[in-house]
Amino acid sequence: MIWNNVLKNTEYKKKYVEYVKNWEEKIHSLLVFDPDRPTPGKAEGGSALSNIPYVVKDNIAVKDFRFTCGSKILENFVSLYDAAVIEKLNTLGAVPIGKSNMDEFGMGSSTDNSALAITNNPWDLERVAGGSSGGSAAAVAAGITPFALGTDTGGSIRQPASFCGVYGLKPTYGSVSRYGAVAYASSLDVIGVLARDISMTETVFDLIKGKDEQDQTTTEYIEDKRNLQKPVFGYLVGDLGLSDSVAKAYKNCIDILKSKGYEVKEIAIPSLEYVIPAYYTISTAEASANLAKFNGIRYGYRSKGTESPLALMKKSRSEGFGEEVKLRILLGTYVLRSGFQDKYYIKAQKIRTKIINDFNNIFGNIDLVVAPAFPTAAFRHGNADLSPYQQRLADKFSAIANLAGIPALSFPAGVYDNLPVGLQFFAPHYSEKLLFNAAKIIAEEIPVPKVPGFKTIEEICEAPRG
Amino acid sequence: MLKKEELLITASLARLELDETEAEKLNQAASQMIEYFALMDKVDVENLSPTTHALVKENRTREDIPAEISLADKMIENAPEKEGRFIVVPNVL
Repeated sequence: MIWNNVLKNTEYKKKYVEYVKNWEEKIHSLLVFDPDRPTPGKAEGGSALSNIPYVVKDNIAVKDFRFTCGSKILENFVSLYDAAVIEKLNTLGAVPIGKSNMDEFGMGSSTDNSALAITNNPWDLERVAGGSSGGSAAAVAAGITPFALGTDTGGSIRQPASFCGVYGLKPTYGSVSRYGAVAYASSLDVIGVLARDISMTETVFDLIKGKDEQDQTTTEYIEDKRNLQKPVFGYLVGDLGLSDSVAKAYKNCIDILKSKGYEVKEIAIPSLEYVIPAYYTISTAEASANLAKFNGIRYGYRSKGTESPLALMKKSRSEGFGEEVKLRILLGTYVLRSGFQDKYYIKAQKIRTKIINDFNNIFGNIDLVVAPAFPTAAFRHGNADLSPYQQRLADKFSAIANLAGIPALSFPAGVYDNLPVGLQFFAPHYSEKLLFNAAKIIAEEIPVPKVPGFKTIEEICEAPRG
Repeated sequence: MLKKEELLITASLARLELDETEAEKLNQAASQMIEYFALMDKVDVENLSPTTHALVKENRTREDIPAEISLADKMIENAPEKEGRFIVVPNVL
């Protein structure tokens, strides 16, 4: 595979860098691009990822790279160390060559909430790449990286993956170390993988998963080997509020599974309609605590000319954070205020228990749930199609997996009106293998779409110059 | 709609300072979400205990041994304003 040689072969590298730059002029998926970063060179030949370049969402630490989380408050911050996942990939010889754009601190569904760049969808530059891992998804779809790392708190890997026509894996909660990732909502956040190739998604996940002493929420990964040969699928019925294209793709996917002889059952998730209030209560509450550390004292943006430490903190935060971040901090602070906790936070946590119970019941009868990743395909920039409020309500199909801690994979499910549509599978804890197998079943009928202008690395490197 | 005073108390607790226009805009957006949160009142959660983490199998502990972190000097270098090894802040008193 040429990906292993692209950084080492001067001629290949030149063509590759040119290809990246051409795409980047249009999509702006990366905040940092440095193909000259020294290759670790330790795992020559031995590892599947040896010398392979990859892209990292900018809320995961990569030593000596800017580390902004898409925020003005960290605009000039440079990471002093590598996150645990990066360290693992270093030892396998993979090379981080860039940091991808994102909604500020992971808050958003469009990447338009980045304070530093506007990322466009490679399929239609007028549209968003999704979010918050929009830069990672756009970079993968454009073929400028074989895989990218992202984070998923309420759908931030799966929704942009579906908008850009690639795979996006949100692993089981606690299966991948988050040491070195900037926390948004600690009881929900996971690091995961985006790629155009399901085997690559699986390979990278297998290599980064596992217990880590530096992240006390990680657990030993003990694979759940249920029904790998002939899994039973469940799907949602009734009015799900889907756009025409997503509804068509959903129906088509169910038909494919049936036609291939799989058992497919109708299911209901009674708690689905309460996902959004519970998710936004819990995630904003946790965010308000996690983001308290950005106060202009020890690092990051500091407002000039203030006369007391308190004024310094308030001014630095108010000037450094964007609107969506301020809104979520305010909501989180509000639901945690004394007197309100039972009404909001505790209630939301009880609903979370209900959601987990729902899934326990569901997975008693079936192995995998097929669900929409998002109710629409990629929407246009500037809130013309969906207001920020509507975007938040649309997170219900994705955030439910974070509340339950279960793994979920969004996969390309066809191209409608020139835009890719993604759907997702949910599986029980520690059954990522089921997700990969299911995605391979679908890929036999619906190949991963190629965005116009996409070239494989072989096409990029072996084409004659000029 | 949240009372303006409630919003300003919340903002102060969150160490945020909002100008008039921003306060107005954020109050609308926050109120819209909080009104939506009322949907939770309809859910029967009797006898359910709250979930704090999706998957906690055990209480993880580690040996109480000091770890060496060699980044201290570099971390101080990252501070926006410093004097020697001290981080400068405005007068506390």
